[in-house]
Order: sequence, then structure tokens, then C-alpha cells
Amino acid sequence: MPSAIVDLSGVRSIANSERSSVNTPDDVISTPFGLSLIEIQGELNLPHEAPINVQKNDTNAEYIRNFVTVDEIKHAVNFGQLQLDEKDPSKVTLFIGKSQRLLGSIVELDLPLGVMKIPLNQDTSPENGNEKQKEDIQIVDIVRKKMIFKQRPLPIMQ
Amino acid sequence: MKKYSVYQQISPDEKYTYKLLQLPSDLLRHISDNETDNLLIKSSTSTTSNPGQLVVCTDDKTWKLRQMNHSNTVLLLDNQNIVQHRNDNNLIGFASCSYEYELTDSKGSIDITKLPRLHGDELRDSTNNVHAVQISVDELLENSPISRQEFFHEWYELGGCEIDGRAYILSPEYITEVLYTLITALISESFNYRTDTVAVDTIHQLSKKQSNFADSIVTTIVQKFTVRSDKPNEVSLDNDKIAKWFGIHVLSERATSLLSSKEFLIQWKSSLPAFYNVSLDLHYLRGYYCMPVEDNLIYINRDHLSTTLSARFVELFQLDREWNYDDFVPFIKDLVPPGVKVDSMILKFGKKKKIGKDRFVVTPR
Repeated sequence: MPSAIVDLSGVRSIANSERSSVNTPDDVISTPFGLSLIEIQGELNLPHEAPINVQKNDTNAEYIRNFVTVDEIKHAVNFGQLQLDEKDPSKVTLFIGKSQRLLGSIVELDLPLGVMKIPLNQDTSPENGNEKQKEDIQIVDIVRKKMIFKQRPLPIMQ
Repeated sequence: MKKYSVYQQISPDEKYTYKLLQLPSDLLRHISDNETDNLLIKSSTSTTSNPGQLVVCTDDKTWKLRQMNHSNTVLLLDNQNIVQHRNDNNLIGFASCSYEYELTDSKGSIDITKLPRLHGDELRDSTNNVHAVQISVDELLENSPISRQEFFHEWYELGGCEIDGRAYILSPEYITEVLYTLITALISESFNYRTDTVAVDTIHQLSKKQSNFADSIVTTIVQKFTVRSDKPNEVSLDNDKIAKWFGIHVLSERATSLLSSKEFLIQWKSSLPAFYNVSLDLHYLRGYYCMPVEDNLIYINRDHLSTTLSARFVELFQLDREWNYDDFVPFIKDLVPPGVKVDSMILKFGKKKKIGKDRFVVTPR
């Protein structure tokens, strides 16, 4: 019967302690390990591939500018800008492109969420010649709040 | 006003996937308090009719794991300002989570249906299955959706033992025989079963002297019918549990047809070892009998009752149209969903009526 070990060593220190001090906006939206959780009602339609070999010209320059390379290998697309409210630290606004904005809030989760990092495609069979030690599932962070956008998008008038 | 550019990775990570697991407060406490203990995700055997059950276990606790899907977009974002100490205010989404794993308290379970039954030197196979599973206790633990400590508690409760590396379930008759012999041996050594404690090693030595039961069988009996004492490696007898065990045994053998409660109490008393005078009360046996006729009882084999609540109500009302409330509740208690009151289930499938002062009965609707 398959069973899997979940390694907790990475999160023991933060399991039962809230962040001791909230000094910066980063502390408001992220965990001490730097993770944030965002929830948007409905679906976010994003491109499925980056325009890697596309020639840049006047018509697509702005579109291509939305794409970046993370850690020099992974492609990511910019889909918006998050803005924290200066007066009310629990309010956030997410601007999607140039025409829509979403009003949201930062809420405490009823139950904290452990972020499980699960290795994929582990082949440990001896006949494969590379009998490596199987990598365990890890809980790499504990998220206690999320940014939630429950309302319909509002138009931005320009 | 602080602003962040929000990105989402186009293609998912090829080496890892990320999932969200709800962490109840007791699990959080476990994570922070235990320096070395990790979690274990286990599953029960899946069959064509039963897809199997996933559980999450610590060393001493079990939670049932359920996937909760949702239709919202939930993104996990990496704030590069924090760990990478950048100052470019970028949030990079690296995983999209279309569900969360929910954990709910569970007692865990051990499937013993295919294990061989042991009756002394005679091997009685379970359910007449000649292909009983040959498996060690360690393998059974690995295959059972339950934590290690809960497993061993439940294993001994079920009468499990390991002989020559194979797991067996002791037959109820054999458990009664070994228990009877051990109590008799203890009393013959002037052991006061009401107050004294005894070293586990002494029980093993007495067993060798009397009948030479296998050590693992004696261990099962000790674990099942004794309570740990404050003194190291010493135990005292759990007299109520022992009395109940003998009571159920007599019920199952003698009360297959109506038996007067007086006659039953006499037979129950005579089934106990000599000089073992513990208090006997019919209340101990609630959940194992019904009284369709005043002061006459009949044994009910719980293994033959349905495991769905509505069907069990029907079966119980077929046995008796009017149940004493206190006699009825033990039959349904284990099927009532967590967080639901027993009475609300009684009102759903039957009626609760007050007859006289402080006396209630349960009847069909």
C-alpha cells in the first residue's frame, strides 16, 4: 500500500506563531517565507505560451512587454498591478490590464493552509540505472491570510 | 502607496506541484511541538466498490483527507522582496490551486476481514476463506489508514496478535479461555484484583506455569483487559471491561432465544473465574441485547446489523417495537455523523416518547 512521508522540518518554527511584527507592506500580504495567496472569483484567462520568437514591432510591443523570464528559465506574464490601501491596510485593489479593477480585502483564513510541495515523476526503479533516494513531500510554508476579490470587476474610465 | 506587479508563470513547474492542505489547530500544535515526527499520508485498500480512503497521520492521530474543489482562481504568489531580497515589488504566481485538501478527525480503521482467526492450536479461517491473508503486523500497520499508536490500541481491542511473523485475530472463545486462566492464576497467587497492581512480566510467568500460552497472546490479553498503573511496567485489571466481556460471551451463547434477566445474571456470574466477584449490571451490556418481553432479553449480534443508519432503525424496530431509550442509543451512536445529536437522528427515523418520570422509549414513526 503506498504511503508518503510529509516532511515538516521547514515549517516547525512558524507553525504556532503569528508574524511577530508587521512593519512593511510585504509583511501584510506575505508570509515570512515570502508566499502570498490571492483568490479571484471566476476564471483568469492568461496566454498559454510566451511570444519567444516573435518579432517585436509597433503593434505588439506593448503585449510583448508583459512577458518576463523568471530565474532565467520560466516565462511569466504580467496580468495586473496590486495596490495596497494606505488608510486601510486590509483593503487591496487589483488592476487588470488598463480597463478593469477589482476591489478586494485581506482576510484571515479560518484554518491556516499548509503549502505542500509535491515532487513529480520520481523514477526510483533500480533498472533505470539511477536509483536515487525518493524525495519526500514537504510542507514549505503556512499561509494564514489571503487577498480575496469577491466583487465583479469595475471599469476604469480614461 | 505600495504597488506590486503581479505575474503568473505560463507553464507549471515540471519538477514539483503545489497543493494546499488545511491545518486544524491540533495538527498545527503537533507540527510546532514535535521536533522529529513527520506526517504520513496513507490510503486504505481500494476495491471496485470502494475507492479507498486517504488519511493523514501523525504518530498518534488520524485525519480523513478530502479534496474540496472550487471554481475560483486561487494563485500562490512568490513575493520576491522577501526571500530574494529584491526591491522590484514583483509577485510571481507559480501555482494555481483549484482545490484544497480538507482534514477531518477520524478514528482510522483496520481491515481484519481477511485475517486468519486463531482458536488455540486450531486455526479457524475468517468467513470460511481458505485464502486468508498471510501478513505481518508491520505490514498490516502500513496498509491500514490509521496512525501507529491508534493502530496498536485498536489492534489489541480487536484481539490481534502476531505469531511467527503472521498476524492473527484471536477468536472470542479463545480470548475468554485465556482471560479466565490468567485471572484464576492471579487469584491463586493471592492477587487482590480490586486494588493490586501486577508486573506484566509476572503475568507472562504465570501463563507459562499454567498453560504456556504464547507470549504474544498474553500480551494481547494484557493490553485489552488491563489499565496501566503509575508504577513502571505494572498494570491493574479493568474489572468492568472484563465483566462486560464475559457478559457478552454468555449473552451470545445462551440468549439466542428469550432468556429471563434473572437467569441470565446467574449464568453470567457462573461464567466468571472462581473468587472473581466483580459487580455485574445489565447496563454494561447495552448495545448487545434487546428486551422484546419485560425482563426477558435476547442477544443481538452487532456484526449482523446494517451499517447505514436508516436501515439499522428498521432492523431494530423489527426486533422490538418499543425500545427503552438508554438501551436503544448504543446501537445507533457509532453511526450518527460527528456534530449531530443522537436525538435528532431518533426524531428523523423514529419517535422518542416520555412514559413516566425520567423514562423515555423509542418507537417507529
